[in-house]
Amino acid sequence: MGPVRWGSLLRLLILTLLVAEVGARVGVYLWAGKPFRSLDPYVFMQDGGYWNNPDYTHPYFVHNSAGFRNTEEFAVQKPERTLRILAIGGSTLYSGVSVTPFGWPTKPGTDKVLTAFLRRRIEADAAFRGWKVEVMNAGLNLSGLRENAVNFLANLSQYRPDVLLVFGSANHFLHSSAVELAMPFGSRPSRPFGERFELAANDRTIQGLAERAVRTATYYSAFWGASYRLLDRTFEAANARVAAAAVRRPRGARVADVDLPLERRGHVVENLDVAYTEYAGFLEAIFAFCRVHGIRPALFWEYYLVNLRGVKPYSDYERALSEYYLAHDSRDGWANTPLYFRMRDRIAERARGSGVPMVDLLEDFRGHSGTVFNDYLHYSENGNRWVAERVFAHLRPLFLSVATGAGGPGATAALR
Amino acid sequence: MRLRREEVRLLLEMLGIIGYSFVLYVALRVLGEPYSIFAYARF
Repeated sequence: MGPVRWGSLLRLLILTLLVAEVGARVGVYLWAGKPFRSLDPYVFMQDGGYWNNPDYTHPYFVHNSAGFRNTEEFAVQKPERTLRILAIGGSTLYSGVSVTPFGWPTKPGTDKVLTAFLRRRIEADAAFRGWKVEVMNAGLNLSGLRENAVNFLANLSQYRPDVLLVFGSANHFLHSSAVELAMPFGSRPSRPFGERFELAANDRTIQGLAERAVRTATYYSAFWGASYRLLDRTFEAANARVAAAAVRRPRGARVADVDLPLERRGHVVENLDVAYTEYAGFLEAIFAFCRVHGIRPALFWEYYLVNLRGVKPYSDYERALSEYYLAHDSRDGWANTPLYFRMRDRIAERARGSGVPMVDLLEDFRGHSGTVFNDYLHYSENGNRWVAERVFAHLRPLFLSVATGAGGPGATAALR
Repeated sequence: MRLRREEVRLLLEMLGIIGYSFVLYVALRVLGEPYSIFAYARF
């Protein structure tokens, strides 16, 4: 027996990894219908926030080269005779999906989200003939107004939109942001992916080094990227199940139904006032910025499916979903808390005081029996189409004020 | 090139160490996070 041939072994090791990489790239191509670029949905921003990865490779969740959820590109300098609308918000705007008791809903493609439908609806209006219409979708999953406001003021405002649509109320008050906002006021703020950002950007320990190595490998390699994604989600699901198993849950609810530990939910609901002060502050900052720069702001209130019980004639799918959530949830549907509606009313009053329109589709829902919801919050493709139609109906005067050159609401409002 | 049994074992061990480290790292990091609110949303 001779000595071990380390050179050959090393070559074989590299060859094995190369074969795995080629296999993974073929797999990604078959899945996404396009060559692999990256499987990481997000990138970190200089401001400490996160943003959609322009290189994200996915069959439905397509981003343009600047990270917007649009298939079309936008010049930073707005072209002549262009109505430019910028929408900021969370996953309702982005049109992400969540798992339901009936499985995964169909994911709307990037040309089937409400901003895409809104653009086509405005273009079809004769009053905008001769105008180029751009509706930029800056939806960012898991983000609340804190993330959206900072991103708008620091980065997105460079696009100088005519109209700014502010989505994201659900995330801010009852979801991801709210989880952190619910901590005592004045405690160290955290953001979605905050800990991962710290590891990648500021951590100088071995773990920080490992994090950067893993992030680099998973960004450029389809094999490591796919493996990472699979593992990350498996462990995350396991982690959530363990966390959820440790808290009391309503009778009949499976551990998998509890995506946020119930104790934490209670904490969120009881601290909505804290979330409101945060929201109001960021909102006033946005209003002030818009006033200075002649941008017309408008708000959009996001309803949860269970909020519309007794209001919207549910489709069969929506009724089944709503009944499931109400039956298996604590507090008779945590998103149904009267405090959430109080937030809506306070924000509406604040917007009124600043002359900013707020799109509240409650009355519109009363007359619509088609399926709008894909899950507890996000819209289906048809839902996106319907919501875009209603947003257009509510905000047409605002859009027209750009085309006619009249000072729109918000453009003239005094700062309170 | 034909690998000897010992060399095959070494190759498998190297692949195992790389894979095991990767799995362990991702697991430790994810499980080290205080709670997860993202597990049931797919984007």
